[in-house]
Amino acid sequence: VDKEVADRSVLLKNMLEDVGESDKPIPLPNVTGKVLKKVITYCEHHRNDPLPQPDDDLDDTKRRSDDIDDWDADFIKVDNDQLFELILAANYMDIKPLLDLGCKTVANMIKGKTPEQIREMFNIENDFTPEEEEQIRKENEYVSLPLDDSMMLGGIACLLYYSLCIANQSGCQHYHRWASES
Amino acid sequence: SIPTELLARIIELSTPSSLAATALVSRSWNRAVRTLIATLGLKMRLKLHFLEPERRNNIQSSQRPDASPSWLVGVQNTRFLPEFEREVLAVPFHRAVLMAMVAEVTIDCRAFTALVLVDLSEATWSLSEDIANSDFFPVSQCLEHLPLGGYAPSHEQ
Repeated sequence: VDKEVADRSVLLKNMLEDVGESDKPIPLPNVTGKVLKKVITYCEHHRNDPLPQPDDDLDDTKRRSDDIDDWDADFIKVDNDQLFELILAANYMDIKPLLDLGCKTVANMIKGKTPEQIREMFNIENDFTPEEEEQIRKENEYVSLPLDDSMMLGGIACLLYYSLCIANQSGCQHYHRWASES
Repeated sequence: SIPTELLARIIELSTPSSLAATALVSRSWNRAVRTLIATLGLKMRLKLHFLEPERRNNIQSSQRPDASPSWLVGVQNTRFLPEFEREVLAVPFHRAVLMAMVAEVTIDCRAFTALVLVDLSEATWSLSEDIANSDFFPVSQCLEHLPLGGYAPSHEQ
């Protein structure tokens, strides 16, 4: 693998800098050969991309999950087991864009799903006792589900409308001034 | 198994539509949600900017357009926005608040004020065609509970 490709992994980049020029193999005990091959494919395709910056996480636009480009979307079409293996490998090898891609993909898969559907999708065992589950449902009664974007729009609009009424009731200066001017 | 911080990252990316559901998937997912909620609490600043038209006198012009209420809404465990709810909400409005929790909302006062001059159905339509065109989300239910007694909605006002 070219050094330029290997450098996409912060783990490998640091190791290569530490050991210097050497033909010694670098062990990656937490990554299987099959997954590593996939990771290399990703790194080769993105070898010329700008490296992620430390403050990227502060950018709210990075918190979206619907901005996956076509090549990445096609690349990440793998079975669920391999998807999580890729996420773990990206996390271990410190390849942030690949980690983001994996996380966004899973996030998109679970949006609007019920707990049962999520368990079934990823073969997750429900290890709650019935009492625990009931307790969590009570705690979460303030967070109804599922919500989608149109519901979000409705919610915000509804909140604004309600705020106006509250402003009027509480004698909000802004409200009364503009109500009288209108 | 997936580390908690990675699950939290995934759930954050799917929020808010999946927050409640993911908490019920398993203990590890629930741990991730709780981790995330602590982080979300820091982000739950709902800003309502009241945009005002041009001022008519000096007193009014001394106020900055964005010097309006900015409510910091709180979070305790997984109960969202209890302070906000106690102060403001008498209807099942927590969903709206939760959905708006990461929103920074700009309110055009003139347009907003005009909403009370029309009837409820028209106000609903004005806010969003999506609301008017569907029965999703208890918007109508919310509107029914709004304290509209003093508004005397009418097109003639």
